[in-house]
Amino acid sequence: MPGKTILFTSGKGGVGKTTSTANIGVALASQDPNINVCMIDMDIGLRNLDIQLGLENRIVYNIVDVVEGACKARQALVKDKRLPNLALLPAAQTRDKSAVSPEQMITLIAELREMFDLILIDSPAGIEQGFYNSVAAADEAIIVSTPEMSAVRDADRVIGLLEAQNRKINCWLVINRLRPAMVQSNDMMGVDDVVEILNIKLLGVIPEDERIIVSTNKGEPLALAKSHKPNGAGQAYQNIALRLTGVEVPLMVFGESENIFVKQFNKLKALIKFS
Amino acid sequence: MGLLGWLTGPPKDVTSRDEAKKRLQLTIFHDRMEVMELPPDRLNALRDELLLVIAKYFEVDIGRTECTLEQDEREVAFVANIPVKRLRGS
Repeated sequence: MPGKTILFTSGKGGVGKTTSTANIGVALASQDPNINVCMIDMDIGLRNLDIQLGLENRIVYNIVDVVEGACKARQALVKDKRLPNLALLPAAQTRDKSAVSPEQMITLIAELREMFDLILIDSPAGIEQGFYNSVAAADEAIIVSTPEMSAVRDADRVIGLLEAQNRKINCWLVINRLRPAMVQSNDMMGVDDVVEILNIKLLGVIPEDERIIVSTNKGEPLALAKSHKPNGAGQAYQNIALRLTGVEVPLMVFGESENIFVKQFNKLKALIKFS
Repeated sequence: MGLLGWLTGPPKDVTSRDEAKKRLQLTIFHDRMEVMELPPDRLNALRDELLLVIAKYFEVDIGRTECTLEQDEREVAFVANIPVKRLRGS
């Protein structure tokens, strides 16, 4: 069966598209060694998926070389050291988004579908050509948004553009960098607020987690860690990967603040309000 | 209020979370309108044209006519409420 292509997009930059692609990609590959996963970095000129995966020193060819016929797709794929069933097709760093066309993407992905079970496309920010190149051959889309107004607004715009395509692209929402304590004190929009506004299916929620920064420093996606902190980002990414393969995993519950003091105080406050 | 008031702080009717949600809902509604290429003056033009056609068949109460765009899930509906006084003779 030819592989499925999943697009990661958001409209706004800096909400965690590349981090989410890297983590969900390694989670999928680590869960089943028989699933071959390919990640494509479509951010031509501003590539970063290589660095998130720790593969930046092993790039020889890139996606532009492939579509221009300078090399075969197989030669440009960088195999992951840790997971033999995971590969990266890097973006070119010295070119721009116009170096690839949507038609070339459709041809390239048709070829990759024969080699891989899952193809994850990391779209660049924005809704210009890089976005349309990324959409060209996608079967499904994961919209990444933080619970911030500008990210949600841009996500809505992108969902509208995906819905306007003349073929059906299944859209999923991933809410990234949620800060449960702030939601609890009504200083930040929560999962329900964002889902109500965007009105698409929720695939998962990633809590704000400092270890994402540390793992990126090392080039080892957090989802690869041997053990996961309960309710941490690594576990949340693993859960999303499971849901993508059809396993039902309940959403994490972040309701309770970790600080016992804050917890008791909030309980007291709630009691007083109700009485 | 006394001690209880001191504990709970000043009453907060609208939290910043509510405010964000409300502002965002309104902004996104307008964004969707714009994407549909229907700014307010176009909506008024549509209402006037529509009334001209309706008025051929019915005598309508123009003063009580209401035309709005309403949002339903991810879709926007054009809703016209045009009170009819009587049928025009053919």
